[in-house]
Amino acid sequence: MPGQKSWKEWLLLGAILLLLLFAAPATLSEFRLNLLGKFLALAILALGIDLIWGYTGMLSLGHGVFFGLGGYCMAMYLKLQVGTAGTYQTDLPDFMTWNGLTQLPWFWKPMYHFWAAMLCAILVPALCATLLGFLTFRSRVQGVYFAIITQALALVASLLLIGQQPYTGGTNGITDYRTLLGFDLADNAVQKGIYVATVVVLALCYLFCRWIVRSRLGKVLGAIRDAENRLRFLGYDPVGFKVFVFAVSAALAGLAGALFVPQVGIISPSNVGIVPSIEMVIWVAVGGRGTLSGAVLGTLLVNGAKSAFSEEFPAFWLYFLGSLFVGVVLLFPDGAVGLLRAARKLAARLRAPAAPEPELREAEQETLR
Amino acid sequence: MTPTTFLVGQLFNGLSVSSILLLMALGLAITFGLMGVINMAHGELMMLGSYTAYVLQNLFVRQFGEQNFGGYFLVALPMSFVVAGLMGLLLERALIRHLYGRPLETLLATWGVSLILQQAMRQVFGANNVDVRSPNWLTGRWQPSAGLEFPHLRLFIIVFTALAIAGMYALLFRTNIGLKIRAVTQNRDMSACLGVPTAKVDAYTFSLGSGLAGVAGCILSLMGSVGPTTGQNYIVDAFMVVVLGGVGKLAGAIAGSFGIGECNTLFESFSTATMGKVIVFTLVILFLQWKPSGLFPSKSRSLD
Amino acid sequence: MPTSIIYLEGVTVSFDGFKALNNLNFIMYPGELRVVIGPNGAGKTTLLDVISGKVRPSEGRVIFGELTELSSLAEHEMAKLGIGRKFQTPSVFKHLSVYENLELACHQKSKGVFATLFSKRGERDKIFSVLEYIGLAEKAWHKAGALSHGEKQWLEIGMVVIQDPRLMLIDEPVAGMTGKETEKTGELLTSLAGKHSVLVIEHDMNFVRQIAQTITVLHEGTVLCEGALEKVQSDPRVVEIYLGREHKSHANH
Repeated sequence: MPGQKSWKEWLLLGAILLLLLFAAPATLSEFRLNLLGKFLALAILALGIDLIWGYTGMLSLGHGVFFGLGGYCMAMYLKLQVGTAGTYQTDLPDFMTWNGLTQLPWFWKPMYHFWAAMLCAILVPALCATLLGFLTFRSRVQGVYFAIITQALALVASLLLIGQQPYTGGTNGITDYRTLLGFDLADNAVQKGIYVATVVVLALCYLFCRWIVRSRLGKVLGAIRDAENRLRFLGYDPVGFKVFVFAVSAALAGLAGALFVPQVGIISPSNVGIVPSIEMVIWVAVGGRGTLSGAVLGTLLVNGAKSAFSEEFPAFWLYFLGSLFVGVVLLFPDGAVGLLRAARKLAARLRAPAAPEPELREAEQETLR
Repeated sequence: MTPTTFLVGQLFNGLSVSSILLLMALGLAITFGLMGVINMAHGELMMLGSYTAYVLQNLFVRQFGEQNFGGYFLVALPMSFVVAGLMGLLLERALIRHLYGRPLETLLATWGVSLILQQAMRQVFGANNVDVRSPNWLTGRWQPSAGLEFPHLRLFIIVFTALAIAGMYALLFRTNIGLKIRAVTQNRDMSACLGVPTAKVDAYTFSLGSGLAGVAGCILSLMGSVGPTTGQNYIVDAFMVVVLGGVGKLAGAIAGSFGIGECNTLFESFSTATMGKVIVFTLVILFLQWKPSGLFPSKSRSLD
Repeated sequence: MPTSIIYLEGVTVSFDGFKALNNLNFIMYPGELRVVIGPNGAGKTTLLDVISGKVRPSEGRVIFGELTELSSLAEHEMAKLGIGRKFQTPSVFKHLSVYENLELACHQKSKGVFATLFSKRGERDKIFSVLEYIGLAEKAWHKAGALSHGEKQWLEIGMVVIQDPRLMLIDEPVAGMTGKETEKTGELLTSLAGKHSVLVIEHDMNFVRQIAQTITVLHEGTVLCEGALEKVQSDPRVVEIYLGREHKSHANH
């Protein structure tokens, strides 16, 4: 029984989608639209972090790795598209020739094909997360230990990328692309096309996550967050659920990376390490953990602030970001969405002091559809 | 070089790496192991210690000339403890005390603090790395036989770490304040009922752990150059030590740092430093399969 | 003799040398309502821990129903076999609604990842009938964390009931309940026995008198005495270690 609330929600979602699809490309400058496209790609990753952290309570500090895996897959495809048009005019990417390689490494070979690269961008992170998740969750590594282990993963992955320069491009990463599926990436219309694709993929990912968190599985995730060990006595094995949500969120991160790279034109270890990984968490925290709209909103807010700061006062960005971490933990644990809700509740109470709690009605409608 | 000298050399190098790890992890063993606080600013507290050494070095050079500046280090060790300890005290009073029992939240908040400290240090000392020179009495080396050499600096670090451990044990298990620290970290409510001033003890304990980070940073500054982001590079290693060792026991930190330190030097000698780290990380994950709560687990009957 | 529902043979559990259970033998038959009493530290909760898989015995065998050896199973596997448990301190999922707490507890064909992802959430009637019974229908959409202690007790009892297990392990159900609620809990447990086997741990002797059919007295990790209420009450050893203490403490009040 679709209530009035969910009807309103769909209307709002549709309006935002139309705004992003048509109004933004028509009004924003090339530079701003490109920036927005980049943020929307990152929002896909934030949805994944929200699933695992906001909904399931597991803090992953290694999502830069999954983002990077997806980004590198796409970058490999784009780099191979350059063909012999590079500086050295060989079949190999320039940095390989420069490093003395004469043959394409085996794991680069599938990336000649766009769809293979896309598939890898999603599946490789998911498989890595499945493996790591299975090993850690099976031995009942929980809470902060999971955070520390994933942080170590971020460190190790970035070190590996830097260290294996002939295969990964080292510190510089992989950059200088020409075409995507034959379209010139420098062409403004092509960039607009990628922007539109990003909006559509983000909308689909949002719906996918919405479906997950409203399913019975979504409630199991909430139970894991509240009292994982208690859940075992109800007949659920948390390990499978945790591996699942870790893998899904890694896949979303990989997809985000694949959409990010053609818009930004570079992927490097600096997108993968400890620092970017933990920064991703704050996007979700600022927007409001445990709400999907909060994840998207927070990504836009924090990254918008970041580019505004780096244009105006670069030296103060770290102070601001640092205060954001502290403030969101101490003062606004529910983030922007939490503030909006509190404001709405207050408004409702002022209007009709005796009315039943709106949140209860919403909870009912959400559960009994 | 005979196999024996190679082995002894390896063991020694491993031991000195382990000692540095242990010094870093010792502070964490207190703040994380005993108090359950994930202090991501631990690395920056170390850097505070390093920069203290740097400032004192420059002061001494100006005051006593290039030849006689070496005494600065004896002043720098206690000073770095005090500086980092005071910062820790401030951190605990202003932030951490609101977050006890929520480790993930302390992780995020202290990460924010670490960013702020980094930027502050960058603005005060510049973005480039600075060098802290060893005092002359630490620059020599001891050569007991051909092919074997033990730099004084590394010997000093090993001895200093051993003393620091002994001091920690004495403090925690032989003194009144140590008893209070253990009581509060084991059962806060009960201790409060028995009249232990828990808030005070929390502040002292956290500041003690922070001070130790400062000392570690002071010593570390002799091993390489120091920059605003240097601390960040060590934080993961230090946490891995505590996780491997098992949280809440000093013996765990000792065993963990020796395991990781020796393995790191061993694998580095066969491959590269990067691959050494990768292998060690993989081994730690595999080890946790076998012993999920580390080498020295603490048993508990509670549900979570 | 019918097959037992749960059978422990020579079970020992030690924590760092302290034997919480010491060579314990215990048997219960299907449909039985059994109350386990004993002073603090007698091993009552540890007994439930062993049966529900939270603690592994260092020695001995635990047999569930028709020869299922429990000691090699994980907690969730035991729960699937049909063992439900209510914990001593009520532990519910505090950020989920009361309704969702019961929904998760509901008996399912499969509680695997994909089954829960794709299954319909359609147990409304069943959940509301339990909600009515435990008196929480009004609060179905409240977060479970906002309930009072007694309400959480009821919710957890409801969760065990809706799980529909063959064996129910109920740890101190009436702590924090009013006299009337205690009586109602007693009625509920008595009515559940027969269809289910119910193992209750309780301190409240009035409650024990209300519901007890067979009582097992644990002391220092072993069974001290077992039988009907009158037999247990008149056993001098029980009076000495347990009831005597209660009488004394009543006298002090």
